[in-house]
Amino acid sequence: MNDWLSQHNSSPVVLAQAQQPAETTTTPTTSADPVESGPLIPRSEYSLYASPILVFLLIMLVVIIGTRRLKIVPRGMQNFLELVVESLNGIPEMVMGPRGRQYAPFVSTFFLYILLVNLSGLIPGLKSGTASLSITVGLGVTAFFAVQYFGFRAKGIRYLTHFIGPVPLMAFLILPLELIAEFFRPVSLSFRLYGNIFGEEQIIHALSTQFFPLVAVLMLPLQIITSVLQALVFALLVTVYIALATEEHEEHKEHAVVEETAPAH
Amino acid sequence: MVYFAALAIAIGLGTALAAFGCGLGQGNAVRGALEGVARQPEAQGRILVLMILGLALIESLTIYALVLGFRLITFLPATADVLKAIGTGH
Repeated sequence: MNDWLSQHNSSPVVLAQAQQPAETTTTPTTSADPVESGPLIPRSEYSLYASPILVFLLIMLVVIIGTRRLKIVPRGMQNFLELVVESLNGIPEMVMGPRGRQYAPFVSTFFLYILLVNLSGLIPGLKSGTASLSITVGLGVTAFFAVQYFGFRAKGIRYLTHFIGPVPLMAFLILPLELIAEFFRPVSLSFRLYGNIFGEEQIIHALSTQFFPLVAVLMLPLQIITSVLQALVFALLVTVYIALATEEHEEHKEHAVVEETAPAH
Repeated sequence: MVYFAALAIAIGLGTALAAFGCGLGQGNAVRGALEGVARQPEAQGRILVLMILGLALIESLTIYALVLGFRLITFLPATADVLKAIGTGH
């Protein structure tokens, strides 16, 4: 089920094994090998791709049902959804002040999607989609291009000037550094998410196969915390990147606004 | 054989060393944040957010080491196979 686990069973030693005459005594380690005894509920490798689809359908369903009959005074589901949207709007407003409101839909889409895909790993038989590098790299690259787009939209061609630093003479020193930092952002974003979720999955897998399976239940609260925290960190970092790309130079005014509107909770 | 031994030591030590440095760094960051909150309890919300952001950035270095370790583990043979190959099957 885990390609990196099953793969190394048939790795280089097979060659050495062939020269060895047939050995009749089986080693005690063979029966205790963690790869042979599977987890409690077997998971297909393709369940990795089921979780993003599931999350997509879930979000679509909730949005379609929740926004069908909108009222001025919200009741029931609309009330709950408004609570969610209000608190998600708080993420960019906390970093950028009222200016952050326009980026709230983008950032909260990232947050909701990553949170739900992370949490879907808790469903038996499913695996978190973010434990696959292809999905997290997709998210990281999306964030990268979006930040460039927001930068150009907010500042026009002047956006490119922040790559060369404040002093034009020093540009040949600053430019490579800034470019490397800029292009490394999607890499660090996606590897952080992938490493956290994949590592968590592997620890739970190792615990449930090497010990009594219920020991792994102790790790599940930790997985919930990791899921929420990583979604929050991804959304916050994207917000900070957007804030850096779109900030204007009159910083004193901006900071004053941020201090005033920042919620103290 | 020496190759596999070196690989195994590298996998074990690499993540452990990264975790060591990460623990020091995160301890420093949390200490700073706690001192800030103790001095100014009303700034707790903003300090918490900034601390989590900083912790994530520090932690990502360890995560890189972890990902590298996971990649390197695929090059290690299983214990049973090695024992069979050496001929000391018990």
